[in-house]
Amino acid sequence: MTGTAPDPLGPAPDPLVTALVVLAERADLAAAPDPARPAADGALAARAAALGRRRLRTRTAARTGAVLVAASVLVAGAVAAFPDTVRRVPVVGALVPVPAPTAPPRPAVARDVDPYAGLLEGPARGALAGDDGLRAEVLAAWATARGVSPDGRSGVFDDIRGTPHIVWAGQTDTGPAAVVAQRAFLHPHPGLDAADLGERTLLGFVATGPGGRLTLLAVDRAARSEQVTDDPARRSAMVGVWLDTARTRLLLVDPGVPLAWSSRWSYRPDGVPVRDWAPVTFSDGATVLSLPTGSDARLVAVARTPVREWADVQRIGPDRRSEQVVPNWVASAATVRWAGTTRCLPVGRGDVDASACERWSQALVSARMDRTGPGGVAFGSLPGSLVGRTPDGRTYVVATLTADADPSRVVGGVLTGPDPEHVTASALADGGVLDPDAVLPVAVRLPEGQGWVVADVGAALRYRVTPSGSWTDAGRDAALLPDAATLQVEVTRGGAAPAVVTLGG
Amino acid sequence: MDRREGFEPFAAGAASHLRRTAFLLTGDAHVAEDLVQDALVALYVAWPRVADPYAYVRRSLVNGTRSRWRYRRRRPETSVAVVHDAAAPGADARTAPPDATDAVLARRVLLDALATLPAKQRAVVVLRHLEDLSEPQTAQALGISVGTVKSQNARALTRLRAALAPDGDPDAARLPEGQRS
Repeated sequence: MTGTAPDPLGPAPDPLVTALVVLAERADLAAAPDPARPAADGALAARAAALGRRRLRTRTAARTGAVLVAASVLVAGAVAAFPDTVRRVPVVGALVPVPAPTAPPRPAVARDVDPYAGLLEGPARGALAGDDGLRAEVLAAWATARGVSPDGRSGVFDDIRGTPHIVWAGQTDTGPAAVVAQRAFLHPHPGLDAADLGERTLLGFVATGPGGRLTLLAVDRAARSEQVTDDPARRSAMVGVWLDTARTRLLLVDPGVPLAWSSRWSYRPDGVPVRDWAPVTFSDGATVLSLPTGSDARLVAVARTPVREWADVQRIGPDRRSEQVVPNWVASAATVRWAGTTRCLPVGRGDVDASACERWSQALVSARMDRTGPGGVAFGSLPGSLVGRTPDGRTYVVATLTADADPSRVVGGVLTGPDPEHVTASALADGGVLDPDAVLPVAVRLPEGQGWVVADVGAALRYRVTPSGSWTDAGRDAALLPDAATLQVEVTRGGAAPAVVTLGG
Repeated sequence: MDRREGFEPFAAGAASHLRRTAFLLTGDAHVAEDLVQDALVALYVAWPRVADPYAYVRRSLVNGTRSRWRYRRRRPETSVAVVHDAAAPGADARTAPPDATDAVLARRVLLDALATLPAKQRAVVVLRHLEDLSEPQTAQALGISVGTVKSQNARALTRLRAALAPDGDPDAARLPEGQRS
């Protein structure tokens, strides 16, 4: 890490730039990709060379094929123009005359690449599909597509082709709405993956806006890179758009496959987050889903059923009209502050493997929590945690677990595995929602009778296993307490009066 | 004679640094690994006609980052293994002791700050300040003019100053301990 070299005759470097460089140095970026365990540099170089050789071979084959095809087309043209002459030309090698094409060539568009194509070809659906006046208004709104979406503004939709088609038109509680489809040819563009180039079907979502005018809310192109599975047989666009800026009503168009949706997480006793799915019922081509009161739109997801794995799930929470980057999981500021106070706090005086804190996230993945409960993958764990030894000598970690934007929870687990670099988190236990301001923010009962882990950094702790028993000193900040069905913990912070928390029971 | 002689030693020697650059550009370790591999494959193909392999592969990384931007913006859920410590407002690298946890928090602060920038401004900051390229070198890597580098850099630093300001104080960037001015 070097930083911008100061000009000896120029002004001093901007302190902000210096701060950035120092941050980058402290960030230890070389260790950042650790979860991926990247291949050794030599192996990466060898793999790149092997892939490069394969690409060269493919390119050579493609060029050879292109020459053969071009020659074949030339010969075919000659057959069409001078059939008698060509009949007298001897066939040489593979250059067999082929029939002239009867229609202009069109780029092949597989359904798995362009899942909206079926909508373009289907009938107009919805109660207002036959309303010619509405149709004219919808198409007028659709004509603004180049200015509405980020893609449109950057020129991705400059080559729109064919004629627009009303997929669905119906009534919503705020007025008429419609979904429009039209073909476009996507040319190379800095914002596009190579897999997304070529002819595609665009979908436009039109709804009644302020003042009662029909307005184009969003345009979607079902990019291959955004679809939810690499399995062509299952790939499907499951697009929806929020009808209101408060994101309480979601318009979904019927893709022709069964869908389910979820607006919340629930948690198993071991802390594993799972989605609560409900089937989506379409009425004549579309539906409008209303979020239950108190829901968080960031948690909304739609999936093709049966939901078998995370790849089936598409999060709708991010507003598709914006360019906002929505992180996969977001811990609250309070959770982050709490994690900053623990910072891999060792519990107890024994031999503690502090490096376990660094391996915790990987251990969760190894435990395959991300495959347990369909759609339950957008979770993460802040680095601040507690670490200690169980009575039987194993290493345990207590840390936060955050799914999407849901409140963070406390989860404890024992790390197991013969190789310390490839541990897994077993014997997981849920400690409930983390409340950093509670008297006792952490209280989780480890499975397999390993005891209670409690923590309140900065506080003195005592405990007793019977209400009338005597108090036993448990030190400060955090402790591993005996595995009792019920337990009382006394927390004394600063000069405040002691507070007693009852666990279990 | 092997027309691609020298590729593998170059790639092996440059891989770590390229990973770091790609990670700063994308904020995602797995995407960075993919980008580096893609860039090295492209370099292998072009190797006989490339005069400055480092400049070539750096340009490939930037182009790859651009093409992945949309994917990053709207992709569906991913596992924690490919999530690099998502947004964590409040993390404060100023007071942290220099340990592994500190590195994670510092990384979070840095990536959160970079994530506030549009793709082009982020690339300018990474190449100009964290990779220590000159303005002409940055311009060449990004395919833009030196004047654009200057203007994008100025805008980026303004945004970063606000992003790194603790408690909403735009005049006090969240500097690591000992660096506060």
